[in-house]
Amino acid sequence: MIRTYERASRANKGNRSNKGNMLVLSGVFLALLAVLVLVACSFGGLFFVFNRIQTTTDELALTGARKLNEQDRIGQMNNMIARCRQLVYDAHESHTYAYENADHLNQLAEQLHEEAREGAILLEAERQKLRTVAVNEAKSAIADRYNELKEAHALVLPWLKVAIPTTPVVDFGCAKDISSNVAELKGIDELETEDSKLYVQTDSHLYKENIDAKISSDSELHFWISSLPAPVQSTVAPARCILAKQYKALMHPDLPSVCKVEMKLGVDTGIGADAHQEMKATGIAVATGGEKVL
Amino acid sequence: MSTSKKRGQRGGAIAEFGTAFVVLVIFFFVPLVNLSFIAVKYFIAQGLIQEYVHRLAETEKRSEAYTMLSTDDWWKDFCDRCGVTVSGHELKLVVCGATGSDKITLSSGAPVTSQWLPGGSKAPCIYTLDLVVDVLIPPIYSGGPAVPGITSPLPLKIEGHSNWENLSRNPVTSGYFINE
Repeated sequence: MIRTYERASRANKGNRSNKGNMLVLSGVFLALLAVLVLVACSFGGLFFVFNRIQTTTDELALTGARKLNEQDRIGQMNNMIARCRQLVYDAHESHTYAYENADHLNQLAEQLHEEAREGAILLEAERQKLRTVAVNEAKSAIADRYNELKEAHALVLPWLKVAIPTTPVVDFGCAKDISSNVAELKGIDELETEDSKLYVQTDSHLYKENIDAKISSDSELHFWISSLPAPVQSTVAPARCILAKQYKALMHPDLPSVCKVEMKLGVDTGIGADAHQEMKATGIAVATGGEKVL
Repeated sequence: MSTSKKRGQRGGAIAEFGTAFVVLVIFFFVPLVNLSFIAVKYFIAQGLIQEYVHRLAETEKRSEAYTMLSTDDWWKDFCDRCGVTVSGHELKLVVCGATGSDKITLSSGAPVTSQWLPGGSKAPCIYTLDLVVDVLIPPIYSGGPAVPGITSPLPLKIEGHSNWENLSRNPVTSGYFINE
């Protein structure tokens, strides 16, 4: 009966059968659904890509930060500057005393004072060299690591295209609330009193960070002491990533202890809204802390 | 009489097709779309939580991480905008010992005991911040009997992990920052 109706219907219409309509519609719906899901996936995938670029940026920042204080060079420089300062202060005091009270020692005291001052000037020149060397080596280490990692980011999927990240922009600074690694020096009472008023933190007994600890009696000389995590009971602070709000740019020619790396990554969502986005990730890491002075 | 005879049954197929079409859309496509988008929302929320726990792990002290979690709402707002409602969260510190089988989980305020600290008998340990977030992911189309994920929000737990960064000591108190 049905076959007869179909035959008749086909003969009347001269048309194609309605059979398979459901299949076609289902196919269209499924294709539409697949496109929708892919569009959504492309936006969901952005988070995955961002986490990857953030991890790489953090790693580059850590590479640079470790290099900055390699073999505790910044920590040692800070300690040498503090001790050199103490020597200059002591030599100046001895010279003044000899000038006033012991004329026969005056020439020797003057010579010792002058040598101490020359030592301070030389040390300041070395500090500036160290700054250049540490920064350049850190930049070089970051560039090497970037070259190793960059290819791993490129990704081409029908719904997501990820480019190679741009060359990292590197900056150096210090961290907020991290004092220097130099413990308050004992032995010269007058200097100790002066320092405790101006340069030493009362709670930790460490010299403050990024200060020019000038001596009141000799203001020509500079004694820049930089920020660096101090050793506590022989525990050296390992290099670590920090939050962006803890980063502080250097205002003076201090030695840097924090490495900041910024990287951009081009991402295209291929299906649907053909959007091009540029992701920016920032990694900030603080250098390995200073070691205990023997 | 002749009119009724001439009347074809072509419309009958349309009526049948229409019913089948409605059934197909309501019972197959809508749930499929809902489930697909729940997966997408899940992955977006997962990415966001992973990013956020990484930020928590970069704080100076552990107490700061808990404070930041309780005061920062941008991540919840962002989840909301992505269609994911945060209904609760818990932040824990997981410490794994050198053997791998040793493991302790600490919640807010619980200190890491000396044997688990750097240099302790269980050292070297791995310190991980775990953020477990209870979320409700609603489907795009809801209504009718409450079937989670199909017609009503699907409750899920999303976890994010990140290694604790600051393993140094506080020069003022001499204690580890992880315990402060």
